[in-house]
Amino acid sequence: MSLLNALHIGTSGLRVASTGTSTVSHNVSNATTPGFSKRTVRVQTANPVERYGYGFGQGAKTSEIRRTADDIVNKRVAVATGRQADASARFTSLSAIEDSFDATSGASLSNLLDNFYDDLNALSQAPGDRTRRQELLVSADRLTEGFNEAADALLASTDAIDEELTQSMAEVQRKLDQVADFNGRVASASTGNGSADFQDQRDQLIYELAESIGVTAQFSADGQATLLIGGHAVVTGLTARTVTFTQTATGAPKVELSTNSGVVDITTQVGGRAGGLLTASSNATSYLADLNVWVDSFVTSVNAQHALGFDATGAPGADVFTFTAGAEASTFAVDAALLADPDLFAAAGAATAATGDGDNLALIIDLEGQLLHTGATRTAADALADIYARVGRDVATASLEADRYGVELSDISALRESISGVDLDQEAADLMAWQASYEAAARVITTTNDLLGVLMGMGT
Amino acid sequence: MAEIRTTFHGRLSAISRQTSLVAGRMARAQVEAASGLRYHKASDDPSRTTQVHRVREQTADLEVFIDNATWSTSVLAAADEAVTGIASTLAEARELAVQLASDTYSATARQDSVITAQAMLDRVLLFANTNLGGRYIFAGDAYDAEAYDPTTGAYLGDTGGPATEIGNGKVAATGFDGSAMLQGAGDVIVAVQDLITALNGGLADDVRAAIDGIDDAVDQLSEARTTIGGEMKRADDALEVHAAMRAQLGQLESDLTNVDSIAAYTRLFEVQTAFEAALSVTASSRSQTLFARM
Repeated sequence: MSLLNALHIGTSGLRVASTGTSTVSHNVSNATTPGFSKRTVRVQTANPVERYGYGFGQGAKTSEIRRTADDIVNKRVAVATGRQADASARFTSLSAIEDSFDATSGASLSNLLDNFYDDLNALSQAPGDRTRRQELLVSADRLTEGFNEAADALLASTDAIDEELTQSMAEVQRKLDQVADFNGRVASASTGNGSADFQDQRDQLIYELAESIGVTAQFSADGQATLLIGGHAVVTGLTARTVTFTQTATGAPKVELSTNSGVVDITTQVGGRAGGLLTASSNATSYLADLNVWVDSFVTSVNAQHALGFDATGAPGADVFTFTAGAEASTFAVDAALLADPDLFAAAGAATAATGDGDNLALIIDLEGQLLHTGATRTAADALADIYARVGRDVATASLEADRYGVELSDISALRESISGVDLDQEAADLMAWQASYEAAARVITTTNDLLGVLMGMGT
Repeated sequence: MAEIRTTFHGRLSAISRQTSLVAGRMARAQVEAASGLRYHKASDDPSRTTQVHRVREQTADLEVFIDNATWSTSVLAAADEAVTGIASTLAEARELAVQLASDTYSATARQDSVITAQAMLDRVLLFANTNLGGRYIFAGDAYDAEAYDPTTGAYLGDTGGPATEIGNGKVAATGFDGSAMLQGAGDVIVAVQDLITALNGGLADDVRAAIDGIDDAVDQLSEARTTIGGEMKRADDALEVHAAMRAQLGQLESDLTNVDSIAAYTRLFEVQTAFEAALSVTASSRSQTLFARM
């Protein structure tokens, strides 16, 4: 073997040390980059040269810059991200709805109902008293306004959710297209940092899509990712399908996927934040339906009893409350004529009764304790409390799930970090090792050069 | 056992998450300690929602029932005073009648006493027209106007029996039908009017006959006082029960919604300590890398 070959061997050491230093630099630079998987340089002995029956070593070479990642763990991170985002979005939206019901303040619907019945009871002291009648109508009006506000808040929350879903779908589509694009780059890139970087960027997009819409990923042998929502593929190879947000004929939110065989409704399979928002929207619509049913039952019973009484002029009672069918809570109101003239309240039990007669008033008051709601099983107050309890249960469930899935996401993220994260202490140690390796290789070269100089200086 | 590999970024993320969790618990503990409440809204404890709403509804109802029962007792006390006043007047009228029914008195003496009897009738009508804040107690449902014509003694009210709600499905009287209460089997007004007529006629037999009417009227008043007493007892009982119930409901709502102060402050102290510790850990973790020492 020649001294020149020793120079080549020393150079191979420099190359390996440079690659190692470069990889440390890449890792440190991306230590906090979301989705980054640390790179590990794999060095192997260069193939020996057989001479004179001996195998002469040829130094070292970089065999691989490995992307340290576990696809199973990464898939679990995506699933946990989707679940946590779903529960968090549901919790946030439903909490806002619960706040709009304002259960503890004097403005809550239950308190407004209590006030209405309290004023009816107070009117029994003097059924003909115009001031007390006026107070009753004020509390009745406030009750209807409370329901109007609650209905408006529910409608506003579903509108806000629709708007967010509309906007987020454009972003989702952009990311789906990017994933398909990265699939192509991963397939065509050479091994090494190039492919690995594309994989990291694509995986980060997958996490973001899992958070947005609950996609799950499957990886093929060539590194390409197939993204699924429920059982429907939204990205396959280089193709991203179109996901759109729309509404049903009744105005309910709907997510559609364009496939080769047509448009598919995937609303119930959507997860992530969009899934949480869709559930919250569905719940809000359901709460509004409950309020509408409550108003219908309440108005029907009060109006029916009021019609059996007689007002201060001796005329039969007209409607106390009005509403428009299909929008009961939002159009719930005190009859305009009654609101303008308290004498029209039919407290008396007979047309010719004196103003102090409160026979019909007593029967209207009795409605408070009667089981006229929820299939004649609940009082008005209990039926209203049931709606509050249902909202509370949904919020509490979402809160528990958000916490539980948050812990799950933390745990699986920690596991991913332990596998793919950049350990700065390790990188610092590696940097020192590569530095020492580089210095040693350089010393081999300078020493060899000195030897060559001695050799070439002989005889001069 | 395999060693778990940890990274600087992973450690900081974990510390951040834990700090965030502790901050959330601290915020909750602060709200509980400051407000004294552990139930602010349904999601705090959905299973208690219906119970809390019922307690609050019942408490609100009680306030009105207590107010109504208090009003009823005021009206009934006024009615009792009026009936007592009429009974006293009737006793005087009977005394006068017994005295003038004696043959020792002349017709002229009887006729001279008419003015005294007329004053008694005026007093009876004044009591019968007793009003409380402009509300005529014996006018039935027509309580906005006088129950009796002060001149003729004719009943102007109606036959209604005004009542107010003092409990679920329970009422107490806030007025009476004077034509039934004061003018039933015995008529307190006609009895005095008959005495006046008899005195005016000057005949002892007529005056003796008027005594029977007065006795019937006294019996009628006795019944009236029994009725008023019964209503008063009903209203008083309601007040007593509602006052006790209000205290119990207040305690129940407190049990359902209020926080144990000592436990709340202890919890707050614990989470504040934990939060400060978490912040210290975060600060000290910042320089824990080999790079910082190279």
